[in-house]
Amino acid sequence: MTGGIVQIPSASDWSAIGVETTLAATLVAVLIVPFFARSQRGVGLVALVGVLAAFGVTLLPASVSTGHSAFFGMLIADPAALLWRQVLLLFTAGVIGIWFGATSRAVPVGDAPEFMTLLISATLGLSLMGATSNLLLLLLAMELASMPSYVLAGFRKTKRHAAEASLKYVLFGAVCTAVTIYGLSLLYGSAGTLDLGHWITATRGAYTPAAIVGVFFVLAGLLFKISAVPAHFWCPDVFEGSHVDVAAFLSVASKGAGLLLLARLWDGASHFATPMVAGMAAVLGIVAVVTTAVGNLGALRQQSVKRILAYSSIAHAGYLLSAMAVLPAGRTSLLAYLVVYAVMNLGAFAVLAGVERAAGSDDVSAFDGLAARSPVAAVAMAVCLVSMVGLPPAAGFLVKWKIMSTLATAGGAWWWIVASVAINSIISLVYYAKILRAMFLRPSTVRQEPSRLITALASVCAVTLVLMLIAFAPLEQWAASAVFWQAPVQTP
Amino acid sequence: MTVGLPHYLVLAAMLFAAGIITVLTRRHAIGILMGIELMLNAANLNLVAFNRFSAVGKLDGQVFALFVIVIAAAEAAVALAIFLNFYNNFATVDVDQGNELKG
Repeated sequence: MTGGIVQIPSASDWSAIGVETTLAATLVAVLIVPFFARSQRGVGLVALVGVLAAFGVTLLPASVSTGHSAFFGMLIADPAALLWRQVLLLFTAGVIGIWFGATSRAVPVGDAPEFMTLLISATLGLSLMGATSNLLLLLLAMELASMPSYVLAGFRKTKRHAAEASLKYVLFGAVCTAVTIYGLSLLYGSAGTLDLGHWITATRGAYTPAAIVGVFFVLAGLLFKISAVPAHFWCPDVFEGSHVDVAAFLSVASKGAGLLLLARLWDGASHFATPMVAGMAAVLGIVAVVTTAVGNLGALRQQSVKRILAYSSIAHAGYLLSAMAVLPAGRTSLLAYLVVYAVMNLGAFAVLAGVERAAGSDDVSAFDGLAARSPVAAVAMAVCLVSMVGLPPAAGFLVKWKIMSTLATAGGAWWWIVASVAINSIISLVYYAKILRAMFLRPSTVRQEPSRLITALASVCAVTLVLMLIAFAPLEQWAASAVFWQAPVQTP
Repeated sequence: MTVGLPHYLVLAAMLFAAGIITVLTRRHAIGILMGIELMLNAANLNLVAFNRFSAVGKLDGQVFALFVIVIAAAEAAVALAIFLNFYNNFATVDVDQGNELKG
């Protein structure tokens, strides 16, 4: 910014925040509507319409950009940010669908506006996280996403588990945020700029000791959002203590935003072939391998399906980070995996929400005989779980194979990550099969079946997964076209 | 002796270490929150010092520090509300008592 001259945002600036503006308007609407309509579902409907409208905004020609910076370099509008927003908004709409189908019948009357306000403001922050490389906006977006999430985790105020989950989440999150902010201050100091794009080009892959400490401290905050080792401890407890829809939201939205932000920063840095950059890639690879192993081994001894899915989401963070290690070559497989991961997790959590609502428990035994009670939901769940293992006939098979083939051909010795992905997929079969066995081979102990809305939502996810396997090329093209845009180098 | 950038950085690093130690040793939730505030203030000191010594004429670091203060206040509000809710359920804010979720 040039000193002294007041700059006015231009039209292209405003088109870069079309989604955020729509979400902010929805936020206001969700708070005002309860004054006129006392119905819970009315509020949910307003939120759903707002989120879908924001998705509509991403389809407008004005939202499409090959890459430019907006608001004086604070925001970036590029294909990757657009892809993330589309995935995020459709996923959030799905989460509101789960809320309609299961949770809205369990929350006390009058709590819906608060819930939707928190959900949408978190979505707003997560959407911004995918579209910035400015240190200040990055921090604000992360905090805008985190703070509502802490409250959402403890939304069932009278439940001891929810209180404990939100306490653990807020303390762990606040410490990680403080470490991140300290890291950001070191990054700022090491190059005198708040723009990480400039920072990366200024340092040219050779970092001072202060910058290295800064990079690792910022990485800690991002790993917390991704729920990767060593910042994964909150994940199972928070999932178990919170509503299924909140758990579903955190599993994909929060993780995806962290991954996209990390990918954006790392994509810029990885263009410089220095020993330090190679070291960072190795660190990311090690984090990926350990995260995958911790997630899969942790899931083995769980009886609660919520906790199984929590550990499975840690494992998937590991698979996604595997592709991260070989950026920029791994970008396509990373984004394709993220899209498929969002669909399969939405389907699995939807069925879980329906079963938990019907049976009053999230134990594996609550799934006993689901195939007899509700064959459609059981088959949809089976497709999602098979996709998580990485087997046909679901898209999880191809995206996992794509990650492995990218790692194998990326150059450099990455065979150990390929081996880790393969071995862990076999381990994961054990605990997913536990749910499959309960659904198809055990006699039913409960009468109720998941609501029709839940069944429909899960079937849509399952059909999408199969379709993405059959028509993999368009998905791959979409992911390949979502490039990260780098600001041109500025000479000060 | 003139006070330069290293002095501020060392002071900030000591503050940060004190914050980490507080977070790791306290079992009282509000004590942990105090440790977090120390860590945030260490970052603020860094930001302001860097702005003063290595980016003269710009205000990036100062503005960043202001935002961090606001974030700290917002985070404290959310955290205290969650502590209160924990207290309502457990009649304590000792974080070791929150041990029902595991497996």
